[in-house]
Amino acid sequence: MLSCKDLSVELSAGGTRILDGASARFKPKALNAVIGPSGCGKTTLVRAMLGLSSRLGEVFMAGELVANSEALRGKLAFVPQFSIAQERLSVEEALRTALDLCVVDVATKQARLEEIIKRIGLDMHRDKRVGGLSGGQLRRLGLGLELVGDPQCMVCDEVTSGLDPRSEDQILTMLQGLRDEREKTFICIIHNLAKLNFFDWITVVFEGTVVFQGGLDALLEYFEIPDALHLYDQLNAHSIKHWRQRWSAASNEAAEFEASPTLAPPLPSALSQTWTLSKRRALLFKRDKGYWMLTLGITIGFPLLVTIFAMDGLPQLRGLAMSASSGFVEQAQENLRYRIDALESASLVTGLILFQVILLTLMGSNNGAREIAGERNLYEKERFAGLRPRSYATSKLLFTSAVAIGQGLWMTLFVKYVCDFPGPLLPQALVLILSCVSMTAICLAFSAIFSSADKASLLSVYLVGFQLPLSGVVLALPEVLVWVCRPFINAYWGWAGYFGSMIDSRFYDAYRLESSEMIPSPMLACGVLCLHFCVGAALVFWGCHQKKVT
Amino acid sequence: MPPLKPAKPRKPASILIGFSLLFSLLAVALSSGCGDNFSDLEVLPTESYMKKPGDFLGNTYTIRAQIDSQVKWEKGVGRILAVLPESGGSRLPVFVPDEVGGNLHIGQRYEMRARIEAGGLIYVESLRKY
Repeated sequence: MLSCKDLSVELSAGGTRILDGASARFKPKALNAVIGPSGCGKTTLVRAMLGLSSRLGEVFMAGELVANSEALRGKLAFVPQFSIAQERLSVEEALRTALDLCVVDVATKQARLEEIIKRIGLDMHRDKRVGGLSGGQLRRLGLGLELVGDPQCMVCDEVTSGLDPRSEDQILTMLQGLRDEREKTFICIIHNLAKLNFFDWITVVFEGTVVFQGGLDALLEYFEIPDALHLYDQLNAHSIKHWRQRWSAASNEAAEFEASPTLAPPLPSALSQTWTLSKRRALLFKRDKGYWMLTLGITIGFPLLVTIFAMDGLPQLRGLAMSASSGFVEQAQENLRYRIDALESASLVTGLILFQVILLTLMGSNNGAREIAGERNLYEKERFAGLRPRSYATSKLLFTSAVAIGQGLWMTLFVKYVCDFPGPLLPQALVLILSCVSMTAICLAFSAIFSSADKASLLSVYLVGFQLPLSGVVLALPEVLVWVCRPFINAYWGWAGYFGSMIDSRFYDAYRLESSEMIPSPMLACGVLCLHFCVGAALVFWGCHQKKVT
Repeated sequence: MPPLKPAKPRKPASILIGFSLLFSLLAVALSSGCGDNFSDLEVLPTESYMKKPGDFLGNTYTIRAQIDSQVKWEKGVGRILAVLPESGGSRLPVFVPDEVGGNLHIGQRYEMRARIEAGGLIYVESLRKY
């Protein structure tokens, strides 16, 4: 089954080794335990074997060299210490989604769902939300979620830690059942030495290397201890050098367990995975009252905020007489009055437009910033089981863009008709929608690139905060910076595209009285915002391809 | 001991190519947006024109200017406007035929395609608000 040779993990290239030349082989169709004092490198060994961290050395699966974690897909599953599942899904929904993501055949999915749910003992709780399960039930669900792909081997990271003895026994008995009935191999990191009698093959890790492998009786004999509970005392009684030399002399590294190679089952198409994730996201959105109330609140509240400044509509702007028909003083007075009126009106209208756009970028930040980073561990786990990064990225882009489209459209309609903004509706709606969608995609990219949701949120808020000064609409930017900053400032293009659509209005003329600066057309603004979206989307795909396991 | 490649994510060259393409498109879009439809025409050298309008007879130029005032309007014919060119210089009189001009107001800015007619008259053939 799984084995490794001279496996090392360095904290940094050429730096301290936290795993140093570990060699191990695990028994197929058996329960394998990995034990050792805290901080000895058990989890490091397992993660390195699974390709979840940088490593030196060789890893084999059924005799075949394993280049990276993708090579293990469908053959091996990883069960994390704490069940990673969406808390707002029911047990059955969580399992069904996992099945939809990695099993093609519909009949197989149904049969496997029933089998797994019975085996993990959650048949009675199938409609219960994951968030309401007890610790033991969660661990069993975690195992169930990894059983959906019917892998030959399962690696369990302390799945019994922190549980009461009864729950611990239930889980270990369940693993034994799967070993005996389904010939599955389990590699379990455990802490409770009193439970070693459940296991067929024990691997002892000490100070970053493997110092023993064998059955329980052999372990007691090798370490000359009356029971397993004395193991750590005995390990600490000698240096690592001693144990290394002893194991080097005692072990038979050439001996390998026989295991036949397996083929990874086919995966559902990328489109099918995208559809499954989109359905799940929509369901979670519906069930997350806090999130949808916040989204609804800002979607309705922000346009209201804009209209407060123009409740009675926009002011009527009188023009200047085209022909001089009065005296010089009257003309000068009229001119001055017009310029003051024009300045006030232009300031109000451009301010309101910019306010709309800034609020939409804020909504975009709220849509995207936590979307991926907040569930990164779940995504990485599903990815290990076969979820395609592009399906995940697409589903996230689809969901957040759909929310952003709704927000942009509502902002356009509400403000336009309440404040009576002049100009054609279609380009205005398009510009505001694209402004929100593109900022959403950029913030989603932050969420995909950073593993911490807080970091992604903070950066998104900074980005929104800098939109106003760097747009150069309200505060004049130094000449040299104007076209260095503007191509990248979403709010500028949203503002310019919207204001550009008002070219036939008197407000546009009023603004133009003092400003000769180029105002991009709505089409150009839409083009640039589309490019912003494309950059954001490309970064989302790139970020989802990166591995970020915490 | 051969170093095994860590489970390193792919860095597809297509992403870099995609980015280059996007920024190229952005540059093209910006440069085309900053330009104008009359950019193939020479800008009217206003100072020289004011000194010797006859030198420019029959030529076509582009003028970017702000309307300063209306000098005269005759229904069915058009209007003569005094405009302030963006390029600087003194006010210019331009003739805008009725079929060319729309709703014109003082302070508006236009890009004009103009021909110099007999007597130095600046005859606006087409205009576009900006």
